[in-house]
Amino acid sequence: MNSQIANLKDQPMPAHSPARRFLLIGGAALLLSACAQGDMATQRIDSRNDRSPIGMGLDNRDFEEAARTLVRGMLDSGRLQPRPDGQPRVMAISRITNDTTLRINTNELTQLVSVELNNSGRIVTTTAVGLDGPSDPLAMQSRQLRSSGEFNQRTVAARGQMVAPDLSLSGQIIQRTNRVDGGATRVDYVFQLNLTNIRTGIAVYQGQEVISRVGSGRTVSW
Amino acid sequence: MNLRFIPALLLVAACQAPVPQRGDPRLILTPNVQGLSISEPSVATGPDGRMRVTVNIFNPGGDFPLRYQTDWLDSSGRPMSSLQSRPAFRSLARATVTSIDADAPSPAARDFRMTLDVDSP
Repeated sequence: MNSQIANLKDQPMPAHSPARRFLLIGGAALLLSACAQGDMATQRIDSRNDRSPIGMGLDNRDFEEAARTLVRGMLDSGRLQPRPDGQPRVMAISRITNDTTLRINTNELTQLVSVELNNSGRIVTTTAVGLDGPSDPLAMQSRQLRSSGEFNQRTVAARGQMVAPDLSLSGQIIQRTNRVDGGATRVDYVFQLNLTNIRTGIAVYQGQEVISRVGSGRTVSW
Repeated sequence: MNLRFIPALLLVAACQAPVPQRGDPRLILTPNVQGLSISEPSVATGPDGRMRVTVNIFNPGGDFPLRYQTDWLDSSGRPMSSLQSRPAFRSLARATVTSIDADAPSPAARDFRMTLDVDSP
């Protein structure tokens, strides 16, 4: 019996056998499909008219949508009044937690929010104060020039020039994934932002924006 | 008939086919949304000096994926760069009226152009 199996293995497949033909056609089809996927030409995307396909993860459009809605909520809250001297409030960036399975640089969200708030004229952002140190350490380090005789001291920042923040921006991005009927997958991304009055510790704004997807589990976001 | 004039006639005919516009010129409707009933834009200024635009849309058909985009213009007519000018999306439920609104990014906005289109890749 074993010798019969060995004999069968040793026999070459006939050139015109159906099995060989099937294998050849299948291989060619796989090769063609692989080539077709790699043939998509690289295209430039206009962010103002971006109609490219979406996936189950987050892309730039989602961050912009979340930031747009949250900033709008902040400005519409009516609680971002200017300082008594008429100057805009000063905001520092605190912790934004990424509680998703995606690798996210939360600066993408905070930068959009702070730029939009700055453009509104209601809030300016300090880069000299931050939870893990200033985002721009040069503002503080340039004070060391006070001891240098090489610099005109009238051009060096004097003591007491920096403005302390009034407000702190914090929040988190949360992900919840569920299987739904039909075998599809639903993913909810929850963007939460809080704006806290540093003097009192009371949140002057709390907002949440949910961005959801339903799609095939093949493009699942982890 | 003199055939030399046919190209010229064709050119004139092509140039005389303007895109139909209706109502407020600040509202730009693509041919895809012609089946919707769209109100004139209601424009107000908030206590902080920012413009707010509201448009009511009646959708007589099935669910409609709406994509709208509002360009905000400053006093010189230049578009202002802002997140508020990015496209936004609403799903208009069938046989319902939906209000869409847009806020100016700052009090410096003087005018707007709102474009309504269908959201399709």
